[in-house]
Amino acid sequence: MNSAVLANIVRFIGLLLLQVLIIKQIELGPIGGSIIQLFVYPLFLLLIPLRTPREVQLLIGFVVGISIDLFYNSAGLHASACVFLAFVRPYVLRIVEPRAGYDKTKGLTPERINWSWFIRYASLGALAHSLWFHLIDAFTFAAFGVILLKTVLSLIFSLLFIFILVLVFNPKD
Amino acid sequence: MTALLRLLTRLGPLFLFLLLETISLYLVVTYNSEQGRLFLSSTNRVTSFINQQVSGVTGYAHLREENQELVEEIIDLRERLGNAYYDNTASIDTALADSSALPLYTYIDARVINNSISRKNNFLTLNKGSKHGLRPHMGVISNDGVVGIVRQVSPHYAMVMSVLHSKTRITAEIRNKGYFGALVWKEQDPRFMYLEDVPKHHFIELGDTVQTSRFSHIFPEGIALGEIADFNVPEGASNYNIKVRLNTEMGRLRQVLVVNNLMSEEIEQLEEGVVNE
Repeated sequence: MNSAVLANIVRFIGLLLLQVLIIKQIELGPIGGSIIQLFVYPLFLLLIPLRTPREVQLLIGFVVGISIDLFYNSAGLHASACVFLAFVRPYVLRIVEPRAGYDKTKGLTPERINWSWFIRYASLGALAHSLWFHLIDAFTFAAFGVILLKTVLSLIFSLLFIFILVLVFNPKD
Repeated sequence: MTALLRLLTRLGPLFLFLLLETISLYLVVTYNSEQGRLFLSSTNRVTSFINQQVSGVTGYAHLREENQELVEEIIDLRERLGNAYYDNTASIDTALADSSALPLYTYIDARVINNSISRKNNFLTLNKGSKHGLRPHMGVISNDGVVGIVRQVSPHYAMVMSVLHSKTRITAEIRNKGYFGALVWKEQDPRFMYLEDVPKHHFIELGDTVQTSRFSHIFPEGIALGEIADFNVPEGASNYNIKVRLNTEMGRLRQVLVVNNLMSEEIEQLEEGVVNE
């Protein structure tokens, strides 16, 4: 098996377990009583190799989302947000594209490109995910202020976790 | 034809995106609706098992607090015992109360193995199900107040609609004053709920205790739910808008009690009979 595929499978399982075993407890615990949702699993979708066909990326997004949904009792909600993130990822990549362009054989990590690029990339991607998630959760545009507040708060704290993870594990591909 | 094929390959990802979103949204609408139907979800063996293990581990971390709560509960219960009261009656009569009283509520203890508080419609999963006597429409309480209402049961698990749900309406009243209304969750803040339908000519005060109503046959009467944190009368309205601070910390629930009303069937039959006339 291709080592990149293996690395991604390990990353998927690791992030899934982190999300449902630990992050889920944090959401209810120390910062409980707030309106924050923490998402670390979008990191997996952000790091999918560039050469993966778009259709496959979308299907991976769906599988990731459904796996999270199983633990969160939220059929379809995370799946929808993940598919959305997988769909907009190429556009996000185009927005933040470095002058030298991307090397299709290399990973989309700060190690391979650079931190300022990765921060912009991850922030935009996670924003798309968080906004879509809270829109679908509310299922209405009515309380848009609340949705926006939840989106921004979730985004800030999720990014904090994502950056710490990348800093600690420093993945290459 | 080739032009069409070229269009299809170009739009492939878009079609797949729309298809997957349709499936996701179908799931959202079907399973996350107010009926709170079970997705493959927590009652699914694998995730339930894992959730239960997590709950076991985090349970250890909270043993000290839980102990403290249990001690307080024991003290509270002991204080309610007959021997904790000073007998102030002058004439001693035959006490008929005991022999004529029928048990109305029984309780089944359960552990919360899945919980959410930050969504618009929140649910909990309990580790007890129909095998332990749980049925839909039973109330769920904690030491500090009301938790929710059982919506669906499987043999070993139950899905509870949390009070933090946009469709929640719990009949509640203000202690010692008797004014009653419906407790609803509006602001997406898990600390507060709103008591609606209390007419504005009644006299209420900040700090008044809000408790379960005597008209509810899901919850026993008089369980304190919270205190009035704020109230006002909206322009042109005839009812108060009362903000209630909940006693229960919904995010920290572990051990809960499921309330079994032994007369619920009889009451429901009676009420249905009248409505159907």
